[in-house]
Amino acid sequence: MKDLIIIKGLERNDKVVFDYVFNYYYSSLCAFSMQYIGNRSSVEDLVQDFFVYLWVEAPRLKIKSSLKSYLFTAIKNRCLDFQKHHKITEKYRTFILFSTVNEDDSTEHFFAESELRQAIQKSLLKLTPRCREIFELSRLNGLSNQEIAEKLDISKRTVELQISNSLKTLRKELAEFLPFWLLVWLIG
Amino acid sequence: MKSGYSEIEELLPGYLSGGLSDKDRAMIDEWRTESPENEILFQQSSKAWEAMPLLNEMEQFNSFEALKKINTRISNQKTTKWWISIQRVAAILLLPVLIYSGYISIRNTSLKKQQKEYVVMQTISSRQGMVTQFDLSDGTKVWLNSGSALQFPNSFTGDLREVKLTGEAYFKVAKNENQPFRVHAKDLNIEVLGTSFNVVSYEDEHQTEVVLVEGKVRLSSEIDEVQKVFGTMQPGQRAVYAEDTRKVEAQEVAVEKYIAWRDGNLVFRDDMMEDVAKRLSRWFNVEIVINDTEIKNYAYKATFRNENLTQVLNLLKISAPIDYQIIGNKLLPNGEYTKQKVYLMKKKV
Repeated sequence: MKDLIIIKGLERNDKVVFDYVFNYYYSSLCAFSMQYIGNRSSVEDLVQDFFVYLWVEAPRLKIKSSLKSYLFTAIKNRCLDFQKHHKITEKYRTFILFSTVNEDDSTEHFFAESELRQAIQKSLLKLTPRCREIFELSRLNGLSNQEIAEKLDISKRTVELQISNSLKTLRKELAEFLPFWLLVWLIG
Repeated sequence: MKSGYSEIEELLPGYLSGGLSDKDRAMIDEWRTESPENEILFQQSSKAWEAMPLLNEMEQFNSFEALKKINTRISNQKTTKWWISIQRVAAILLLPVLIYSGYISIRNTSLKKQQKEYVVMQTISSRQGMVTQFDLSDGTKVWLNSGSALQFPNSFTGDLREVKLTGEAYFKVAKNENQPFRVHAKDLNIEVLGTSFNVVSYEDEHQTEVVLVEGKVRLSSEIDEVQKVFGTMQPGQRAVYAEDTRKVEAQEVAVEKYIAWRDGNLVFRDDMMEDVAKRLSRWFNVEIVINDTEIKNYAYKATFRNENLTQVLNLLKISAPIDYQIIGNKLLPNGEYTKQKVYLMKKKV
């Protein structure tokens, strides 16, 4: 419902709506493109080109899917074109959070920055301070389990237990963004 | 199959970080193929594993700067059309006419304005460690907490009574149904007809908090000219607007705790030491540093009345496993003094 209002706003070139969409999705679309292109400035150019296109062409676009699907799919196609053009074959960094199995899979479950942040913050609040500290050292500061164990003077096994605990909590928060194909698989 | 669940879960951090033996690795790989549920669990754990690095990656991209570039490109897009340049020439020819007529109309309105009553905006600030109480022109009573400021007009004209708050204040709004009272607290707008409530909205904090004592208030936000209405609060509720999520969460609270500062009391009821320190540092205008996470999360209960900083810290020392050290203020080369610094640490047994 809200999606429809936003799409209608884009179609009539409402700048406020356009800015909202831009601010909401820009960073996540860039991070998503990084997997294909791996170069920060090329990625920003590509996503910005797309938004200029979106502004100019919006009145003529017929967006049938959800806005999120439309944006990520459109960006993915541009990334694939870019790869062909520049003969890039390697994949840079593959986030499972951004993965689809087939080319035409739904991109519905991808995260925008604020959504991801919210899910993380929500689950961090549920952890004990110690558990949270260990998880942040691992995932935010990139320390290995061994390094964390030495820094905090605890056993490596304790570190792993705490991280496994954090993963369990965060997993539940992220679950609502479970890929569609997994759900189908699970039910079927 | 399910018996190995927790064991497998404990191995996942090692697996995901790549620090697992080949044997354990093979075990997990096999477990994954055993059932779709296992694979889903694995996928979800991987997502949780990479969530923070991905957020980190997203944060590298600045949509604000990018939007500026987009805006210039969008406005350039239009000038490619030939008739735009004709419009420009026409505009230049019209310019002197516009300037002259503009001058005339400004002169006229400024003459009219002089006959009307002037509305002057003024600001009242409360000094550190003091509560300031004053009345607005409509009879609304305001208590301004230590280190806070309120901006308001000397008389309320128009169909809204609008004020702007930085910091913490308690309002007892005079009832006037024809002219609602609105508090702007950063992004959050609090609109009322006549009621009493407390607002905390400091610049260096990423949230704004409203505690409603009586009556009704309506909360909404306004960011980049986009309005969002959150709803109406009930008496006895505390609503917190978070700037990052741009959402409001409300809960029932004991309101006394939040408004005791008006009488010069500092009341803590199972508050985290981190929040206690924040309030003390505002109240006494000192910087309080806690290096120990355990102390940060220590829940504290106390009421202070008219005590000075050392007295409060000594009470803290007696009633909690906490010790302190005060570093006095230093004179800076520019003649100003640095803030006093207080370090809170775990008491050595």
